[in-house]
Amino acid sequence: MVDLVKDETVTEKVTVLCGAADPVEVDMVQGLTVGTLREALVDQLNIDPDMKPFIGGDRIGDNFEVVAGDTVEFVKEGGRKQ
Amino acid sequence: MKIKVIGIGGGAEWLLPLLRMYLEYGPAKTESVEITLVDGKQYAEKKRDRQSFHRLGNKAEVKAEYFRELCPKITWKSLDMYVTEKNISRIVRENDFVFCCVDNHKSRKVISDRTEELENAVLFSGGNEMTDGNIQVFIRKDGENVTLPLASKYHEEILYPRDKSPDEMSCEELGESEPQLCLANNMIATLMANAFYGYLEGKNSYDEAYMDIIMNAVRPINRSRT
Repeated sequence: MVDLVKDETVTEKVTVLCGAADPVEVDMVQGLTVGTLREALVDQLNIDPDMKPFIGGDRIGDNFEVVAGDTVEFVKEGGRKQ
Repeated sequence: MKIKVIGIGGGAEWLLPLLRMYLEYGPAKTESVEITLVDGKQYAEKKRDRQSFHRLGNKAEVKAEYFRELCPKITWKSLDMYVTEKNISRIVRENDFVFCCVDNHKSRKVISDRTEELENAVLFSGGNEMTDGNIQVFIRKDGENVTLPLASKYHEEILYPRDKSPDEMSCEELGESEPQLCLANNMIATLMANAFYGYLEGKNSYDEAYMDIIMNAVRPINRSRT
């Protein structure tokens, strides 16, 4: 389990989205990767290991280093049944 | 207004009464409405946990029969068939409003690809798992994609479907079904109907919405802007 830094004084944030859950804002720190976000928020956002991360319409990998202001979405597969 | 509802399962079960009531009595009060129901499956007693029917038979025919009696102002048609690459151009046509309520990604891709060939059409698609799911809104206007097709880089499960469409399944496979909740079907149907209303009101602002019945949450998202 990875703990993300939570500092009230930090104003630079990264937003993380997944499925129907409310967006989660995390503090931006140097070298923060998509993989770290996935690991840290796996339970809170119910992120499946197979979900593909996107930033601004681009598919990115777990090694990608985010920057302040990024919105990372772990895209959930569409429901199959009806 | 011509509407095609493809897949008459647990989602259409809730969608059709909403469409019927809104189109008959709602503010739209569209002069002429034709709704065509499309499904090749038969009703089975074991599906009564999520689907209602007054007699056994083809789902599209039985439901059209029911709604013809209930609401003669709307023209109800039925097609006893599954959508395939071969027949889809005869089913989905210019200016149609299409509600995709199928239970597999391969059929979703067939319907999305066909919609993308048209100058003007609107496709509302929904799907659920046990307690969550999503809807997508694909708008074609004057030959352009206003929103993303169902099959896009965001949804590779539809772009490169690995499942089978019903016309490829054996009788045994067709008889099998994974458990579902009528509650999830209901929420997906409601979201699809809401998206239809939003479109008619000119206020559509998203191309997808996720839902989760445990969290009682819905998150709309517009990826077409990115």
